[in-house]
Amino acid sequence: MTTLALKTDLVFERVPAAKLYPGLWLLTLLPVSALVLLDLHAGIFRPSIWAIRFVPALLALLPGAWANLSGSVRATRLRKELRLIAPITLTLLVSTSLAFVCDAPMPLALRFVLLTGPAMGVLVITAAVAIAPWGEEHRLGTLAAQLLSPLSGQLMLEKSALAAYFLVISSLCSVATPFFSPELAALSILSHVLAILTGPAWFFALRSSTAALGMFVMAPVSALLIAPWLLSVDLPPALSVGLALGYGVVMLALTPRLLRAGISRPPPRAVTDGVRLWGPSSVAGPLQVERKLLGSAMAIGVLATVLSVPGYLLANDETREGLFVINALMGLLVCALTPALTLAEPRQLVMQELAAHPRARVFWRKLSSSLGVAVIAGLVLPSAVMLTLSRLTATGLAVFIVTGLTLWAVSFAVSTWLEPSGTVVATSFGVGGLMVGAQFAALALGAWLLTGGVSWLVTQPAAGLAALGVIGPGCLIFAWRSFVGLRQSKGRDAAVLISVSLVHATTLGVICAALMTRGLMPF
Amino acid sequence: MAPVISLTDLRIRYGSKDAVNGLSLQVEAGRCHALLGRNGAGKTSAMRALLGLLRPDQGAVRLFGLDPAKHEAEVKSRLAWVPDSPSFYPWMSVREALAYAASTRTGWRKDIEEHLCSRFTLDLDAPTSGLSKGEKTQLALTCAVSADPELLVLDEPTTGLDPLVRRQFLEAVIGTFQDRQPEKKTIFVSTHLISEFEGIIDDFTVLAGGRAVLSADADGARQRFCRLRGWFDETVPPQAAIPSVLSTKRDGRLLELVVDSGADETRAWLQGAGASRIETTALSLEEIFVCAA
Repeated sequence: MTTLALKTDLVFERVPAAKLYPGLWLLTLLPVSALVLLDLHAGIFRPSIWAIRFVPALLALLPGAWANLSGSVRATRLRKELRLIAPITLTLLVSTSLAFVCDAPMPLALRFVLLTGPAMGVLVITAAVAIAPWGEEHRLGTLAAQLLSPLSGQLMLEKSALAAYFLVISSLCSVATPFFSPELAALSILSHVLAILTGPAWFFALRSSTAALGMFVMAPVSALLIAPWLLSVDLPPALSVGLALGYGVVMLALTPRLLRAGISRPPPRAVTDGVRLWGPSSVAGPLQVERKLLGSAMAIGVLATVLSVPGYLLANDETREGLFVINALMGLLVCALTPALTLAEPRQLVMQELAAHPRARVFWRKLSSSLGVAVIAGLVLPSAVMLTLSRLTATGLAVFIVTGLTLWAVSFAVSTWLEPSGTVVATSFGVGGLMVGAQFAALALGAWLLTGGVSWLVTQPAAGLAALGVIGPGCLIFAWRSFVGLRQSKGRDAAVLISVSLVHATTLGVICAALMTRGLMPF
Repeated sequence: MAPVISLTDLRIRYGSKDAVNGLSLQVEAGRCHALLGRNGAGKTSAMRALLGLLRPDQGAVRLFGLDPAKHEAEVKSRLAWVPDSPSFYPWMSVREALAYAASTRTGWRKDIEEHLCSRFTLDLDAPTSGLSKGEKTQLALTCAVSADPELLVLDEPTTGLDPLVRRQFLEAVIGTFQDRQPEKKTIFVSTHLISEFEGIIDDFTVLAGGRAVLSADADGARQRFCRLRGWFDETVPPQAAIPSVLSTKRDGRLLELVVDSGADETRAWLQGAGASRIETTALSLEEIFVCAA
């Protein structure tokens, strides 16, 4: 799924704007229209509710419509900004609106999205939207030109305002969603406020989209985790909101200083050598680079664990359920990310390493390093936390571990297959957003479509796990043939990528559906 | 009238390493000033500090007599920058990239844009993601010059370009840029291809280890640095004990000396040593750079 998102992002960069906007609008409107038809068919259609549901979509389309119809210079700039953040914004709106509209036809998916939304959708995607305009400019190498424009202040303001606009729409969706409890709505609004106020500051302070995203989530997350608890013990909600706003205002005040510090920091050594290293895009070259980048994956796993401690000590049952989900998802995320982090890199560095070492040795080194990180940060640490939270049975643990390993194996297979084919893979916020969004969509759809297979999995867990066990070794054989045997064909890129990703999505869907049905997950 | 660029005791440190160490220079309006130096000499750091993309640890930067931090908009409206690796939004066409660049500038000159696009024969409907390095540089230069700046900052503008495109660059870009009010149009360029800019550079500064080891106007430098060749009928004399001699080369009965500010003294020494014929030639800027760096 990771690599599917990576590939999708590359495609996004090449689609002309004239074709992209109608496509995005269709993507947004068609599912909503289909759901309206379903309601009509079931005789439960209520125009007032659907009018409210369409408002966020219309608000989201408004800037795009104006940018395309107006001939002003502002419209020119707005078109660029919209295009720049299209993938992540679309993910935000879809992930928010999914819970908003899919209650009737997809109850199982709804429950999943509702409970994972606050953990991943609200926190991570919201943070990504706030930072995406800056991260994408930097990734493309166009940020310096923006900063040197005489209108730089105006450009920065427009950039932040647009991200804030979409976050506000998303926030409105959260509040209006009937399934969000007041605590979840408060959590959602808080995260949006924090994202709007602090995203750019974190980005410029850390000068890495990934690090900024991690820090953004880590710094306020304690407050966010504690906020529902505070609300539940009848502490004035205004106090929580005030604390969050205070944090945001301080960060906002620091933004100019951080901005200057951020752009003043010397570029990484590789940049001066003509190779752009932005975010976790290179690992195959010097070992220290690989360590550093895999470290970011390790950090995600450790982060989830560390965050769970105060939450466990302080939180009520509802928060513990949230912690369980966070740990499960963070663990799976780490498993999915580590192979891409190990293998997605500037081509020059791959060639250097492959020129110096046998392909088999490089393969095993990458396999062992990514698997080591995936096991420690993605499986062992989250499992320990989940067991501590008393939410995980032995069967659930086994399924979780097999799921993580399968995810890692599929991701590793696709990553090894992509790299020798010469595809230049880069990470970005669009990628991150698409990855999470695609994960949501795949899980929800898989759970919905494959409920029929759940009974078989439930009655035959051993057979189910064995079937899943076949996927991992199969993927490794595929990876070996791709990377060491160089038996890839560029012409089959799309077919293999899609089919492997579909297997991945289906597998996850089945597992989640099984877990839900057996009550192994907390929802 | 205040100099267009004024750097005073500029110091930039990366950790424990001095990238720029006490650099001072001034560039007057209408001049073309080259920043020369080997890789890692501190050129790009100095240029980024000049543009406000890097905060110096010490020293002052003034552009048009103004502090760029306090008069940011005014300073930026009077300068344009072309990086060594120009980047564009990959989904835009050349036409859209130009339109976007125009939307971020004040005083955009459409006539210059059209002139340069036709000179470079840029396909306006081509996607920027499909442009070659040379075409990207041409597009970046078109964006920079069309903004009609007073100061054009070029960071390795011709690196990686073929000789034909380099010639186009010099003729089209510099010519167009300095076409109107040349006394106000200043160029600050960092380059390794010194010979390409030989006829354009008015002044230059050679950086080594973050320090300015030589700062001079080009004509003055050519007078100051010269090569003396002396032919001897008999044995070539041993090493000349003259402080201004930078290098000595012997080839049969020919003695070649490169000198800094000591041509007359060296010529007298050659005559005294019995040279039957003496020839004096000025060094090119590239040769001066090699001597200084």
